[in-house]
Amino acid sequence: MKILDRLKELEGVEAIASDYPSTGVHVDVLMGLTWVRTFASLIREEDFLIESVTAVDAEPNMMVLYHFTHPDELCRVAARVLVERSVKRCPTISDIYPGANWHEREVRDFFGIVFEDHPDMTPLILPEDQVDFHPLLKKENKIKILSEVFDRFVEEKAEEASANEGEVSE
Amino acid sequence: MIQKPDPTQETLVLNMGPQHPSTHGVLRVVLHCDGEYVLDAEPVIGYGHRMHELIGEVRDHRGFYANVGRMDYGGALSFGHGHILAVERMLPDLEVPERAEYLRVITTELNRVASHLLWFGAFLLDLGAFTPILYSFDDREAILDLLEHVTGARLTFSYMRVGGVCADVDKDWCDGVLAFVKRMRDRIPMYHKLVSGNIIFRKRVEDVGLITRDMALKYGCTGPVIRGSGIPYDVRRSEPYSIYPELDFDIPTSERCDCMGRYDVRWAEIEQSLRIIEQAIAKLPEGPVMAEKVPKVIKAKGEVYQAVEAARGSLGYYIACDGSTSPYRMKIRVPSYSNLSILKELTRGILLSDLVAVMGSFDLVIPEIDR
Repeated sequence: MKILDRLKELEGVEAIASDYPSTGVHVDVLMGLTWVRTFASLIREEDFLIESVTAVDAEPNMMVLYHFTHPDELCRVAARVLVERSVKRCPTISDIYPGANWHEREVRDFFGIVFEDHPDMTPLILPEDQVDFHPLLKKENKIKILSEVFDRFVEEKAEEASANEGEVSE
Repeated sequence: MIQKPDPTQETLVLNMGPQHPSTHGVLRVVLHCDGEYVLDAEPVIGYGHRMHELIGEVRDHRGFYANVGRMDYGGALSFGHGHILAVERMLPDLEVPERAEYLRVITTELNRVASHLLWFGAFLLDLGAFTPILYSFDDREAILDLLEHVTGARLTFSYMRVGGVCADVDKDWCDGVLAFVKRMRDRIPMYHKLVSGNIIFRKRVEDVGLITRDMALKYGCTGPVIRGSGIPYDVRRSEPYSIYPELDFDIPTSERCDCMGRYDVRWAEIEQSLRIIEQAIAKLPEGPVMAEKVPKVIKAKGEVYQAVEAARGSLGYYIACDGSTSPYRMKIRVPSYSNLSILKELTRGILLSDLVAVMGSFDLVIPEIDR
């Protein structure tokens, strides 16, 4: 896939091929906060169509999740970016993809994540007077560690652990 | 001295909705108008918000299934199809009988025709033509009778199950469907004669609400809206699921990019849906309609994204599971949400009456947008 090769060239973006039959996604991307806009511009150049922007509440970080698909070839890209639970800020892509405007407002409504430089962060779906009410934030007894839910973060943890072991043995 | 306001600089703020008939439900559009011209149209949504995504995290997969039909009351079966396919994707050992998959497609396509007929009537009603809705509801009624016979419901269908469908059909029903296909084919020329060539209608929709290819991609428009802009993106072909690869049908597009283009695409889609129904009935295999071994408790782990083509465009279910019986996070990507977000850019500087035509051509279902 052309997009996978192009994404691999970006240093702050970790792109791997995903197992389509079980996940419904072809390319799985994990990126740093500062790379969101670079990633969005690149994927815009490749003529991708924006499907959704959403978030997942978890420990220790929240995850913002983007889905893109291509209108001409079968290729879905899922991009993840981690947002600290205490900071809750993420760069906007609404100027690159105007369709993300509403999705980002919805994420702010449900999770309280503020998208920097977004033209209008007022509540969209929830009432305007309930700015601090975020229904999709998990309660303390329900919240899970990111790697317990998402396989993508399991390997990293294992790698880290093995790296640490290496240090110890040295 | 009190300064008189300059009438040439004055703009009028007009609230369209949330009870305006042409907003089809509780959608409000705040309009800034200069006379008859719209300077800015800001949709205000959320009046029918029910937080289905949170309900999805509380209930188990089967328990949530009844909710999905409540989102898009026009095309409830494709919403159900998407949800069931997403859950089945998490159960790789489950083998769904072919007959069940055929029945899912037949009912979904019937529902798509009914949904497009509903849109047709309502669209013309918005434009001031009262008669067409009476004809289209007559045909829609025939579909609802057929669907009621097999699913037991007329609007918010809950026909599909994890592993199959809840009821089988008999030969009489299949004959009834074929009779309907024939009847509908005979009626289509009548609709075109009644409406499509009408000069008043054409003046209202031609070259109104132009969506370019680039705009459609930027805003994530799907369904007849993107196909009306010349992009042949239909999930049934672009990302084949269910039995659609085995069936022969075309993806109609229009290069017009305007309301008329979207109108043409929907009518061509009705004809294609009839083709699909006819083929699926002819190929309908014998056998059970439920898988033999369906896990009583669904405990999945991992994440899936399942896209299907709903009547209004690409519908996506994103489900992340942590190994318990209910999803950890469920996101429903609904087509009308993205389709409506283009309205602000699209309607800058157009006539108020054209705004009604543009909104009508989107085929909006508000509970689906609000979720």
